[in-house]
Amino acid sequence: MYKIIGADQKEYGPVTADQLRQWIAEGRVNSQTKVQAAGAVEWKSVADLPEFAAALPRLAPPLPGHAPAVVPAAKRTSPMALWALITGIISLFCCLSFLAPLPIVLGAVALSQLKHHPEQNGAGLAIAGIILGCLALLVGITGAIIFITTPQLLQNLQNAMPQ
Amino acid sequence: MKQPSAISLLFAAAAIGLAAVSAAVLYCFDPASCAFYPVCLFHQMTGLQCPGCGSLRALHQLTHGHVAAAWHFNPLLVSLLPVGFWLALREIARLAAGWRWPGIVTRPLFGWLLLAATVVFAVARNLPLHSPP
Repeated sequence: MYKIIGADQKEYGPVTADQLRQWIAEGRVNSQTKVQAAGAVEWKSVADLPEFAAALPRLAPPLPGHAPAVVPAAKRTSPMALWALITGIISLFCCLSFLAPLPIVLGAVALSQLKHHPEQNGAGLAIAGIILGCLALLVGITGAIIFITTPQLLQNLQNAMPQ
Repeated sequence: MKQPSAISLLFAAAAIGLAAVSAAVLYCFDPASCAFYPVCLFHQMTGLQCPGCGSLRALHQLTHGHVAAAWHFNPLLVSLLPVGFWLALREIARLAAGWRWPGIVTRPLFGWLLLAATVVFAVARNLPLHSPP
């Protein structure tokens, strides 16, 4: 297993040698990319590891500062954005509208985290969560206002209570 | 470990304070007989129980230690409360002390399960199998 440092200075992995060879083939990793074998202490260039010599393209090493960007394999959905959406849906139930601040806060935090994690997506989910949270807040406030301004409802409620 | 900021500490303190005040109000005033608690619009309009209906009455019973009565008013809330406590505690520990405890139930799978449980409960509690609370 190997870890690498991408062009964005972040660590990726651990991944298998085969996965790393595939990244080399896709141009995500080049001979200058720093790599650390499992158990090893120091970071080496991919070119210094004999097991990847065959996988590297036979080209001159790229000029410094022109290293191709390492793109992570697959985009993951931000769990927090997903939670913003789910709590947003749940808080739409009137009695649960007291939960409305939850999706709003989760969505806002998810959005700010997504800015620093380009490998994650889910901005749409986070925004949907925020909107649902605001709607739920509106439902809750409307419920409170209607209740306060309508004495009849109060009477109904008291009649409906279990004894 | 990062040193917690003053704002984080303030948030943690405010959350604990709000929870304590809510618990005190719920302990002293029974939502079943006090008028100042908010009402469920959905229940008012349709006569059906929403999945959150009975939450306040259940919490009132819990503050008095009556778990069975609380379960009768809203089993979903009562069963989720320990999870909620754990997550709140975890978040407060992170804000106040910078500790990072594992968030097993924060995985997306549990989010979908929670949503499914809420919908199933919403349907099930309105089936005429037992007398509504």
